[in-house]
Amino acid sequence: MLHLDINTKPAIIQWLRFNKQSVIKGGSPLLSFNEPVDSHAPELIYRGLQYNYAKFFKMDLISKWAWLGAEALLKTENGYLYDGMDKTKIAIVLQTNHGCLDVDKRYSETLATIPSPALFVYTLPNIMLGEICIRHGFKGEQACVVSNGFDVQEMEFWVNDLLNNRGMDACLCGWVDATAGTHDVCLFWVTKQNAQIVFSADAMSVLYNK
Amino acid sequence: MKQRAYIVNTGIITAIGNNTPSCLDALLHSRTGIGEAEYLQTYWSKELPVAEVKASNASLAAMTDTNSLWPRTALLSAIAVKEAWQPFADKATGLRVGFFSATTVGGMDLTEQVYKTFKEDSNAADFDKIKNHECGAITELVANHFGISDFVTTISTACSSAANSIMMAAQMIGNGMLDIAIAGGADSLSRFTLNGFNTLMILDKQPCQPFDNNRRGLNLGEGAAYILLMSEKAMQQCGATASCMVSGYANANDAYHQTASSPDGTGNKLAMGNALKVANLQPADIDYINLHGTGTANNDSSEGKAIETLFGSNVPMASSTKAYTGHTLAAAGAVEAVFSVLSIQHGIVYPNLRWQTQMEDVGFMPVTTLQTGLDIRHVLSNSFGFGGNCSSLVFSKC
Repeated sequence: MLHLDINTKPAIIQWLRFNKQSVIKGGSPLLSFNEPVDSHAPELIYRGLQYNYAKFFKMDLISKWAWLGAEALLKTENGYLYDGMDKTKIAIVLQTNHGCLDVDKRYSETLATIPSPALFVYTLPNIMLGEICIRHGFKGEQACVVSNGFDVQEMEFWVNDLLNNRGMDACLCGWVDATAGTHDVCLFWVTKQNAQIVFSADAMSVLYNK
Repeated sequence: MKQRAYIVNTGIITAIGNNTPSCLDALLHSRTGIGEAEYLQTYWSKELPVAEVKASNASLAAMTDTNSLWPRTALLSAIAVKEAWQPFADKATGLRVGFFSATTVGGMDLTEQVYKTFKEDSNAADFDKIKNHECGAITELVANHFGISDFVTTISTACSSAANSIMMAAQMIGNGMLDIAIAGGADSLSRFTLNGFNTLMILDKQPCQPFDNNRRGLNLGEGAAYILLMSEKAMQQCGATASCMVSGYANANDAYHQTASSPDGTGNKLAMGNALKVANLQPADIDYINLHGTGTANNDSSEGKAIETLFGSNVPMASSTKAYTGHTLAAAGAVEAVFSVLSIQHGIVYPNLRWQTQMEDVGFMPVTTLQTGLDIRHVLSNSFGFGGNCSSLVFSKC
């Protein structure tokens, strides 16, 4: 059981970054490829990390990236970072720029023939939070924000508010943006626990730009 | 000690009636509101039946002296609010009044008109029409019209929206934060919702048959409904009497799928069970369940299974009224709250219209003929929505 001290400031316990040719977790490569993997990147990473969650293949692009990011970020050697925690007190705050435009376009193409229910259900950017919640059973507060770029100041405000004032014990937060062929993902696991990296806009900015 | 949230009045407009007495009359005489769309402009009018309020925006506006350029959702909302609130509006001086209104459609009907024009000629589009697009704008329009300002909020949690607005109102009265609450919801038909549900392939091309083994899907409806809640103190000042109260409420999420319930109804079970706990009741105390009963394969099956898990072999009388009103989305929880109140007041249980065949995976059958002369003390009303949003309310005789 994690000991959470109400007087402790939020800290970044783990972070994850998808680069063009690698998956970096806590500063170390988790998986790397010999060349850029943009066209089928989510599937390649999924297979590379040997995940087994059939529903992954039904997801839209941004949900795939968010799901992969959460999975890689949260998995520990024997379980998950949240093991033993109250899942009703785990929040998620994600920012995105393109949101679900990729699936919006693909869905609108199907309107000419038979509109696809399978695509339709992904035509909201916050569905990526739902996929993470369904996978991990998180039932805390959630927010999905569309912004031009990763706004670390705004993220700092929301996460601090959730952990300090709204009864949340932990928060999965960060930036998930993707279009067909590009991706930019950086996720953080933040809890109120003494740890090396104190949670702040600056810390997120440094790790995001690493 | 929590204050009780007494129900002193109701207001409603649906495809089966423009007020509480006319809706009751339709329920008593098995008159459905489902048919061909006349006012909703849609390619699908011949193919997809809907439960439409048979009145133009101009005549809806005339019923409350509002502006016919308002979104239809706001026009419907104002009519139901007026019925519930008007008899007491002058008596509430000094009392704290809250307005809790649910909607999912918001001003979408007008936005659709602008969008169509905009695509043809961007200069010709009347952008004034989208200023009330956002869900909260509907609530603000209506709150301002009736001069309610102490507490105003909008809830949009898909098909459980109105149940959640009633739950929140009951909690605020319960905790002494308000004296009076007008709580419910409103949604008009729109092309957006009709086409969206059609894309999900869960619309019935015939009048729907909830809880029937051969059910094919739901029919969308439109309407608005509110219950007027008061604390004991507010009732004394307003000279109001109450036949029943909101005694239990709960919401839960089954975190399973964007648009489907989990097969065994985990969220449904949690919502019903917790609402009973809040009401301090046992399953055997419930006399009638107003089912969510949309008529989709998924909902009725998981709702039915959850009820059987909770109630065992003693499932109380149960029926879905969506075969009358269609699925009014964000208004559904409030429409059915009004029907639950009427069930208690008049000792009646409504037949589940068009029911023919017993479901294979659910053991109990709904009530199929009008039941009268009953002593209905406790009604459980379910509202289960997309995103796994599950809410249940309990109404109890005073």
